[in-house]
Amino acid sequence: MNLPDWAPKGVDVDRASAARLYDFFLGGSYNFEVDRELGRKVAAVAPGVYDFTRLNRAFLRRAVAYLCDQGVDQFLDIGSGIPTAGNVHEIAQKANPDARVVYVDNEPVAAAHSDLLLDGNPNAVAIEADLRDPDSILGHEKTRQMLDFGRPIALLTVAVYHFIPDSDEPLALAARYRSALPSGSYLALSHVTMDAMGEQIRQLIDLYRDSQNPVTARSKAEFTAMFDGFELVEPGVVFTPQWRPESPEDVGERPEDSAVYAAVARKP
Amino acid sequence: MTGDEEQGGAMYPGLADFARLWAGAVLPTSNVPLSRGELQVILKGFAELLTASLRADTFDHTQAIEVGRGLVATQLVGPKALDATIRVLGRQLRAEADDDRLVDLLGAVAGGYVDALRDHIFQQQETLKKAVFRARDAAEKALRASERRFRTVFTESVVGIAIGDIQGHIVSSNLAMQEMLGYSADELRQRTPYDLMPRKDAEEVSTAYRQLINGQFTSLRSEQQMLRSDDEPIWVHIAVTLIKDENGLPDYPVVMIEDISDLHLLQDRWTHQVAHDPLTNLHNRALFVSKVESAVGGLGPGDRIGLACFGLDGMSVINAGVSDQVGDKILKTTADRLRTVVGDDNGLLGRVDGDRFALLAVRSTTRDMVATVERAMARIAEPVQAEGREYAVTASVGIVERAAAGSDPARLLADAEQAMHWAKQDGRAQWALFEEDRGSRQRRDFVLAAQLPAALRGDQFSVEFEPIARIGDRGLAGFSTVVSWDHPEQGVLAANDFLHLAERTGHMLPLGSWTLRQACEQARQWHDEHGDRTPPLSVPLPNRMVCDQDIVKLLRTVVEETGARYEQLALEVDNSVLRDPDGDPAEVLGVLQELGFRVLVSGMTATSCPHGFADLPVHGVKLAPQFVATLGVDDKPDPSAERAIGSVVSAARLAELPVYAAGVQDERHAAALRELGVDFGQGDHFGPPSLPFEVEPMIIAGNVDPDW
Repeated sequence: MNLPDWAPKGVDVDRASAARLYDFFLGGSYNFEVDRELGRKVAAVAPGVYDFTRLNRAFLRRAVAYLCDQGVDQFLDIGSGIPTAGNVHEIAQKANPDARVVYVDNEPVAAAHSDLLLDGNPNAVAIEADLRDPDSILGHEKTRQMLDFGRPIALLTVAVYHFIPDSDEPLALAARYRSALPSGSYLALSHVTMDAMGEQIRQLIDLYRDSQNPVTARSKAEFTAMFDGFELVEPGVVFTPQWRPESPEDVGERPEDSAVYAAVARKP
Repeated sequence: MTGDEEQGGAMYPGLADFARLWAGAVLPTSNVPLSRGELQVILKGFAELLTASLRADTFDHTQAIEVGRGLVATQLVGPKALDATIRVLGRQLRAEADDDRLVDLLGAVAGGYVDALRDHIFQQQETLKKAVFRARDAAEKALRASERRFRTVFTESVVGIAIGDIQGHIVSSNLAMQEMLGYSADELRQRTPYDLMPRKDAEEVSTAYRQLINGQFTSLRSEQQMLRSDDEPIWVHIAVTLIKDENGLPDYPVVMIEDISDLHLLQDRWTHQVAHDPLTNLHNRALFVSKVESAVGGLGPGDRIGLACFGLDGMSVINAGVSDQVGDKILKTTADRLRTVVGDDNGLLGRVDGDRFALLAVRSTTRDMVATVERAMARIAEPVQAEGREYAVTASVGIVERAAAGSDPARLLADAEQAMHWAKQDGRAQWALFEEDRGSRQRRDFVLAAQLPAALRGDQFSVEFEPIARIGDRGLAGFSTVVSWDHPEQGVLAANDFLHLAERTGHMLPLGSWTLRQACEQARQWHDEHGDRTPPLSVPLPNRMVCDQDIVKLLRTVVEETGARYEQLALEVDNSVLRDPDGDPAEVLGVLQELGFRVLVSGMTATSCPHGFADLPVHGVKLAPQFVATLGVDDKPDPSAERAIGSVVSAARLAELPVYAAGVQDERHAAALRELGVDFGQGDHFGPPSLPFEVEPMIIAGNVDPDW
């Protein structure tokens, strides 16, 4: 990296981005043809991708609702992506109008988009930063203004760590974030795996290779290690539809087809 | 759900099942931020509206269109959401109306849905566009800010910055760079930084630059000389960084140079201060010597080199008696005057000691050197104005002038200083040329002087006895005590070689006492064995001892401790001590005589007149060996020498003193001296200084030619 750190990051709409692909799979229109083109290719070889994303999104909604029930009113959502139906602050502020949310995404358009939507919301902000640089997030002026690190915080890293290759040491990053949270805080996490739907995920990974965000799938053990030192809340590590479903039909006959592990844990 | 069912069931039983089926069909199609139950509540409301529309007497599209819009508002916007909805509605509402009315209704739902979805999509795309603008705007703002920062850094920096192309040519340069190098922006363009360096450096830097492009390093830093447009060299820190494009390939270099000439200058000044005398700003001794070394090294085999050392006379008196300020003024003035004399040609000056200056001349001749020195001496001797008074200071100068080849640079200065000392000894305000013999003798003296104390402690001295004979018949008249030094490296050294050193270095007293003690012990021993046949033993008493206030006490102690007899001992004092204005030799000699010693005045030459000796308590005079030597060697008599010796002998005669002669070499000397009336002689002609057992037969025989 030869550029000094004050040189800005470029806005790249010529290559597909994970945030806009995610929106595409959710049926949103916050995407460009370049995203849809890749999205259609992915869907052709991994038709389950619509379900993966939808069920993951539904997990996020339930997790936030659960956390609100636990009395948590501060949320740090890293890798928040394009704001879409059922954003964290909408869910949380429905339960508690004073709930505070910080959205973080490294994709400039996603961050700008969140910022745009949050105009006039005093209890939610969006910042552009990278999960791989914890200090830039935890030490960000807006983070510090919005969140009180003396009280429990829910850290949401939902469907984001699979964009961190092993070379960036995701476990060390997770540990860094866990250590920054005060006691009573929660960590909600979901992550793509090849433990089920192996072939489709392999194809998906292949196609994502050329996007801005290549994907790394991880096993259940690797996923569980990200909660080291935290206490998993019921039902522990499961596939997304199995995590505190609201009705039996939501789980379906083959929850493993969701291809995404999910869990929530509490810092003792 | 029971409450809903009851409520809904009142009018339309089965609506709850309708909603459950509907929700189950559409949930997998879209990202609905609602729980299944929440969705069912909404869909049940929609089902009720649609049912009511169908059952109404006149069909109204409005409700159905609103339901279609409501589905979009509920985020049922997935590609298959409408399809799933139409299927559920078709099946569930088939029983409520005729086919035409149902088709109308489904058409209206779909119409409302599509209409709302278009809005939804447009709105989202609009928002996305805004988001992109906003992101770009932010990025551009950041970029502009960054460019502004860079531009500010670039233009305002005191560091010279240039942006180049990949070949290394400068494309753009800042003012600092232009000023540092003395080129305009246009002139710098198309040049490379290494075009502006001395050739050797340029090659190194361009090689390093190629390695930088090849990825062997990420940046290049060095301390370098660059040449300004006026060819004046400047020192710079140079840093070259390669900016890479987004693919990580070398794009263009940024070159930064910082002018560190001042730093170098400061370093030079520091070096100058270390090497220069701050008062006169001349080279100090260390630097002067190193300059002499490099001068010698740079000369050819036929070249000569000259070095003069100027010692100001009487500076210690001025510093101590007048003031340091005046002393400093004189030193500064002297330095300035030397500079004017030397000029720029071939001369090199140094202040090599407090009041000592040195001048080096290469490719010199002795004549030129002497001429330069005389001019310098004349300039130095001009009065110096200081603190309202005039001071006249002279210099004594030592000159060395020799072939450069094989000259030891350190020796040059030492020899010049030596010669300067001679000039001072010879009466100051004059110059002296260094002479090798005198120099080596003095050097040896210094070494010996330094070794003397250790030699005394180390028992390296011994005494020998030189027979004294009556010149007429070679009868034994006594022995002269001679001290010698058995030097570990130089062999046995005669008294002449070191006594003057002992005198000068303050070791005379211990050496003299030691000698005296040896002589006394020997005298007692011989007297014990030979009784009255033992001739007197004469012991030289150095001036230093004669003048010592404790001399009498010392002599008594030694004589008494050794058990010698006073009348057996003759003390020889040098005639120079009798002329010492500070002492009262007559008094001392009187005491010695009273004690019973015999006293001889030695070292008599043509200039030492024995006329006044009649009044002194002395028992004889002894001619100096070098005075005797003037008689010459072989068969060439020197009438003037005979006359000179004759007049001394006559004077002694008048004072009724017997005359001794030292250094009698041969029969011719003996004959001449006998003729002149000298009574006693010693020297090779009568036997060399020898150890006691060697001369003892003479005592027995009573002459210097014993029958061994």
